[in-house]
Amino acid sequence: MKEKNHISIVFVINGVATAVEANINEPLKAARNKALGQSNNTGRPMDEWQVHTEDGALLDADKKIEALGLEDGVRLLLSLTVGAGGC
Amino acid sequence: MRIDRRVSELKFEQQVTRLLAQDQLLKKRGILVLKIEYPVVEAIFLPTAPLKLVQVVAAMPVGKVPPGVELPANLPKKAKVKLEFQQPLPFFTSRPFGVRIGMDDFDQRAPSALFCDPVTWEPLETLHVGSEVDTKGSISRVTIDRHPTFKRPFLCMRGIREYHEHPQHTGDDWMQYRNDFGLFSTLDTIWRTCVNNAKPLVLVMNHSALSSVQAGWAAVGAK
Repeated sequence: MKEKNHISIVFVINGVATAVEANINEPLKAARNKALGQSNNTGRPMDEWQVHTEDGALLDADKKIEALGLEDGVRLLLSLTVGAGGC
Repeated sequence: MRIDRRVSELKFEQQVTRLLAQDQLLKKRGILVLKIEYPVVEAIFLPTAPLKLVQVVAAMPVGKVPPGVELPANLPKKAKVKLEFQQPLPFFTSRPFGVRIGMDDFDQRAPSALFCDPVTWEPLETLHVGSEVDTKGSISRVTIDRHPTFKRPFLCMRGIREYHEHPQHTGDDWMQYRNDFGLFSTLDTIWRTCVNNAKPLVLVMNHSALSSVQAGWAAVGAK
């Protein structure tokens, strides 16, 4: 039984799904960090992990879950920040 | 080989299992995995976003915008506003492409990504624009025309072999990230940068004395 104001979020990290319960009044990064810890993905600083929806939209992890409009059971993808370009 | 083949094969199988566990997501994104045969995975990416025709019909200061046009609140008085007509054309979209992922020596080396013609599987000589967008909306182009070592166009992204083995990235060694990237993340990165952040558009500007038509690519923003 979920606590009031809590939803379930499934984070997919390099193809592996990890489900966590999250308080909708907390920033998304709290749930992200919980999922990273739970799945032992602790080799990099947690703020280096970006959160995307399945449709590819990049979410601001500093925003509250409620403000992002995330619903119970949503699946989100984590990927390390880009380090892109510069060649 | 930098790693015992048996070890590499076991790691490959593990990565393939993780990839196939996300089969529904791959289908939803138009990623068709055609071949899985150690050490190679081949996939075709099918872009489905419709070509968007954007016509800039007028550009004017905020004060001269006709009544009835809704604008964001608190725009500075000196700001200029562009009025656009946008029309998605659903029967036109970007060209599909194939990618051959090389997992040889994984995870001592990063997965490589070779972009190919999806019919002949000949390597592509040029790539369309692929981009990455950060939470502030900054856009970086990540497809580069020629790799100095591999002598072909490549995706310049962390987690991709061509990035880590580029002479300018010797300070960003793959070994720092090898637990964080794999087969699924490689396909995810390619889809995000070269499909989702590369939606085709044609921009028609004819509101001033200088008319022009430009074809380009639009990246999705942050939420």
